[in-house]
Amino acid sequence: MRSVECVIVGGGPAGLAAARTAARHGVRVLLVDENPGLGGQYYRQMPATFRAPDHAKLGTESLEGRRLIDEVQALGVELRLDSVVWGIFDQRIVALATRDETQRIEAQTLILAPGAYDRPVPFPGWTLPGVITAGGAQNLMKGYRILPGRRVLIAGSGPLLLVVAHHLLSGGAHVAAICEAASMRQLWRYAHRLLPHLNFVQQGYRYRREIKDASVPFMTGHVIRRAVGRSEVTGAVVTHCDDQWRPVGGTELHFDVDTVVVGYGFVSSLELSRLAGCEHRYEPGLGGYVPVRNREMESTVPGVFIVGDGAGVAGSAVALEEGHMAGLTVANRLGRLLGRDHSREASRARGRLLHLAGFRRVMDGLYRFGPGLYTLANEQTTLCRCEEVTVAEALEAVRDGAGHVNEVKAWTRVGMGRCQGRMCGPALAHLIAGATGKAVADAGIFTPRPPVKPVALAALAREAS
Amino acid sequence: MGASCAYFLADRGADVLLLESGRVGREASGVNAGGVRQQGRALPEMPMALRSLDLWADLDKRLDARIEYERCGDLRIVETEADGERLRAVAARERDAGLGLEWVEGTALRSLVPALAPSVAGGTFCPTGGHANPLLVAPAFGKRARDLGAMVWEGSAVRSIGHDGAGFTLETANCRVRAARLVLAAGAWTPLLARDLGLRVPIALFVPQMTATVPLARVLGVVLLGWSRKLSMKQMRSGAVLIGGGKRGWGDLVTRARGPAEENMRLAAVDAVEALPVLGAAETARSWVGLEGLTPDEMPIIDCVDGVHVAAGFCGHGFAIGPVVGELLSEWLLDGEPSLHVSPFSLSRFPSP
Amino acid sequence: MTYGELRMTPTSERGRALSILVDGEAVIAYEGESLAAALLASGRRFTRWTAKSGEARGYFCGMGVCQDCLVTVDGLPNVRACMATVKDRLRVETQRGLGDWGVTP
Repeated sequence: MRSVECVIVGGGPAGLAAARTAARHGVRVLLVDENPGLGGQYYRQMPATFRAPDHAKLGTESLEGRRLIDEVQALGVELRLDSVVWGIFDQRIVALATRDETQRIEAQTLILAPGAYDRPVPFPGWTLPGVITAGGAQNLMKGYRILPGRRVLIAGSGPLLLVVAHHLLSGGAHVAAICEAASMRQLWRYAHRLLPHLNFVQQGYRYRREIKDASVPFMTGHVIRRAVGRSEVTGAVVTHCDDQWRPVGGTELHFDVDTVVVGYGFVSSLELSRLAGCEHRYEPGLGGYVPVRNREMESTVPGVFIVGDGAGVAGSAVALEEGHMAGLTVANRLGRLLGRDHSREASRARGRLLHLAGFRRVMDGLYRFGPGLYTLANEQTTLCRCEEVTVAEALEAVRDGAGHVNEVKAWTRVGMGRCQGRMCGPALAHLIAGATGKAVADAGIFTPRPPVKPVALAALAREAS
Repeated sequence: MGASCAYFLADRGADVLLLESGRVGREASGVNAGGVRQQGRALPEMPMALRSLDLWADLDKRLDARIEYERCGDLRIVETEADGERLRAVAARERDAGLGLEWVEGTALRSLVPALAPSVAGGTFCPTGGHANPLLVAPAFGKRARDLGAMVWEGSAVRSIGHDGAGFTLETANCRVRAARLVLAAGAWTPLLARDLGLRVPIALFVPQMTATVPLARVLGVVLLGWSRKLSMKQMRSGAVLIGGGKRGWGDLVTRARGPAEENMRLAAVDAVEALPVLGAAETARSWVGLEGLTPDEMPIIDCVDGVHVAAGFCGHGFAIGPVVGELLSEWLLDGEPSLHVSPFSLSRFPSP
Repeated sequence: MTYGELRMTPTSERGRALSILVDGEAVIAYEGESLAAALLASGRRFTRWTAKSGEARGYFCGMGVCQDCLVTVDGLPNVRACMATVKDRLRVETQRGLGDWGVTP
């Protein structure tokens, strides 16, 4: 079996930064990503076949990403694209698969940078074609220069909503409204703490100006109530919500749209870190579990590091810095960066992370996840998209005594479909908590089992030498 | 075993307490392949396997629960002439023991499983074979037992057991229990509990590994059992194909930590694709293992020693006979003896150390 | 939804034009586009009908996680459109249920 000094899983900002730093110090790095190109979600690039890419319209991330990707490639980092890491065995044996074959690699050090995905929030009509996530909208517009629709409602929370609106408007789409779940009061409570972070404030102001000029209503304290349509979206209904983002009865506003973009934050991809045996702890402020790490980004499993949004969603600046920190630690661990050289770099990185932590705390406060979102679904709403299991069926299992997501899964097939519980897990935990009075953390998460992404039997069967 | 025994006892009005360290049906009962077969078992198990058919036929009504039992037939396949001869000899003995099964090859074989690989030469088809959903059955037994008046304590691991003239004393985390009669059906954990009573029960931990695909369109209408290679494949009601058969993962009895072995995931995939080539493009959704009990001769222990009833060591094929073993135990406890001979499964067949 | 309105850049800035077949109909796509992007740009919002209730599904998460945008490509069912790249003369079929493997059980 091949042994590699440093295997990095995930080619987004965190993984790329880790690869750059480690490679700069002479570590031999193998970087694996499921996509055909590097960049992950945040640094998603347009296809190489597209000519004269209009970076100006795309924003600076595209250029930043391009530069980092070029650096990583120039440093001779070995790449495995279109490859999914589907399992981690014996703590650091990495199993990866392409469409046709599987390969086992022993990682002397392993950096997990799996990122996050849009928080799935079930609501009536959420399975209709035309309902897409904010991340999905961004991928279409930034990655392929295609509008998701012509008349769009945006509902969610956080600055990403403004970015999505900006791209939609630049493409000539009609943005019917932006519904921000956080209330104006909540936003103002933290707004002054943003002042030290001038760039962010300026950018935010520019976006707000743009949507104002385009007469797009920006409604705070509002959530999506339902998407309307028979076989695709023809409209959307929004309503007021309270501080917990629970819909409050009364006025419902109906919008004539063909697309609903939902962006209620992100959840970390924890399947690999769990499979590797890393410890996790529940963070109510982030609305989920995060892996336990020390200052050097090392998890509770020696030699396994976790960085970026996969360790708790904190944005790209943090991801880059954490990746860099892990790269330093790996270089040190492998004897390429020692003594004062290492400690000097590490302490600089720590300083920057501390500064960023302040910004993060403000952002987490501003857009603090409201568990009321999980009351949007009614009994008929599909909870498990893959297996088409409704909220009612899941609740029946709870009434029959199921008190943990794994039990509801065993009795109803929720979480047994192709997405392996990613779309329904968070909502199910809240559903169980609401029905039993348990804490959400105690309702649990689905036990991750290999493969963490579906892998064809033929690919599993064929072992690359 | 424990849950079905509790059900049969409660059904007859006995005073029952079922102690389960975790949740009913979450260990071996819930993680096995779900096969309900009569062929391919040690011959002494045949009477139980045949009796179990009657129970499975209306178990869903008895338990008032969904269990997804399908009597679709099972097919044991061989890939060489020599294996075919050996299998036919085994099948003849099984027929003598009362099982209906027939040798199939050529067009009969192909019509049973059109997607079967050309390398499969023939097999024995048993129309009474089938499968059920292991995640649903034991919990259904436990729930029905509760409804009938049994006490079911989950999360109640037994720490120690004592035996005096009058009965048994069990210490759990929460309290002490006194019982007149005791059934040990704790799977791979049975030897640890039996030791307290001075009984040596030769059950070792073994960790069988399973793989499930994502739900697929129908490609398999019977249960496939490998003879030339250890393989079992069945397509569940959901459309997922369950692949099992002989591969092992790793596990720890004390911590209960466990996981599949990567190499064995690969070998299971090789076997599955070689038997049913169309599955090459089918994706696996998950692989898991169970902590099960294995005896030296791969037959279970069903016995009563020093007043203690033991039913354990089903070596990964206890699911099919779970209901009947529960019934036999209840007869043994309430009527003095089980209605089927269980002497082949006595503990005394193993030499004492 | 009229085809052609959803692309945000002129064709001169996209990859080489090619043709894919969607349910028998020729659809234009540009080299480098994901299958999902090309389908959406042509006004096709749904990729499949579910097995249990036959409801329409399409692009949702756009990053290969939700497994909803499944289509049959060149006879192979359950391909995530958002993770597949267009190729000339690719044969795409919207999928009913779990897909057809060409096998009768």
